[in-house]
Amino acid sequence: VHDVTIGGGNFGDDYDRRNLIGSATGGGVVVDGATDTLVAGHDNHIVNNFIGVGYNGNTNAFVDRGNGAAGITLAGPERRALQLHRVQRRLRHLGDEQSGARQRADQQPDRRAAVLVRQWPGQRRRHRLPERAPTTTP
Amino acid sequence: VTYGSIYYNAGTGIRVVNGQHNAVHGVALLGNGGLGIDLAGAGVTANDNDSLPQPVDYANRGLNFPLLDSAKGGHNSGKISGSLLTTPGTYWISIYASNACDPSGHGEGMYYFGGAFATTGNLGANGQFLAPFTIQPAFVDYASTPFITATAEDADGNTSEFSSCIQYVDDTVFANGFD
Repeated sequence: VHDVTIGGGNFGDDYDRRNLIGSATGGGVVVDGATDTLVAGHDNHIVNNFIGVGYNGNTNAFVDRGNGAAGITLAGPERRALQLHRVQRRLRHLGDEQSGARQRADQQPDRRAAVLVRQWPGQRRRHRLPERAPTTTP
Repeated sequence: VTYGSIYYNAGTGIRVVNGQHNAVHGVALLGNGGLGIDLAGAGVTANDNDSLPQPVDYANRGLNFPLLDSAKGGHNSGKISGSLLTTPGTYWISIYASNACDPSGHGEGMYYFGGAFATTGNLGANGQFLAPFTIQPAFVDYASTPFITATAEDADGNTSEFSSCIQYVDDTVFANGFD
């Protein structure tokens, strides 16, 4: 997945778009490429959300709604994916067979996450560097 | 990851497994079971030589965290001093205050109180240079949140783990604050 925003706008000032993400048995938010994708997640924004926090309308107070694992997990670099891609092409050239890039076990996204942002196979962008938004300093 | 609050999760607040340009800016982190920010999922990653080659997809290039030297001043306004030892460049240093220090000794960051840029100077060795900083947040309730931490962020959007925390020293001489 790429160029996705979870929450409130570029500067955190779109309050209506904020989310309360809590009480998941796994992580709150996991952003990663799909297991077999060659271009992993990049340029995503998680803005001004409450993660691990709920809201009690009776007392008008935020309450503990911690998720079962990390609040946010980010994984899946494009450069690793591109490296695998080059390896794959070379193997094809040599007549070998490679079914696809696999993530290491410790890079597997938590499938129990409350919000799981994945890139579906039909959205893959092969043979191309992902475009990157201009970097800004805070 | 920008602004917002990440509290009370059983694991880390923000876990960057791998990949770079994962900026964490102005996020309040508190009461998480693991670190507030954990690069590579390895617990506190000790500062090393940032100029040496890293694994190609190492989390936020393993950017060193700042070292805080002192935090002292008046009741609600004081100076936070420290330095960052890393590759040449300009870095944004974020300052956080909390009511407690994480059991790891690093982080978390209950309130974000802004920060300032720090630029590396000529003092350095082995490819790394020192970027000293002194930051005076506008207003902090140091009485209730006396534990200060910091993160560094480079121009490419790589954010470090939290620094170790230090306790603010209120060196006000007079009770009415005239110091």
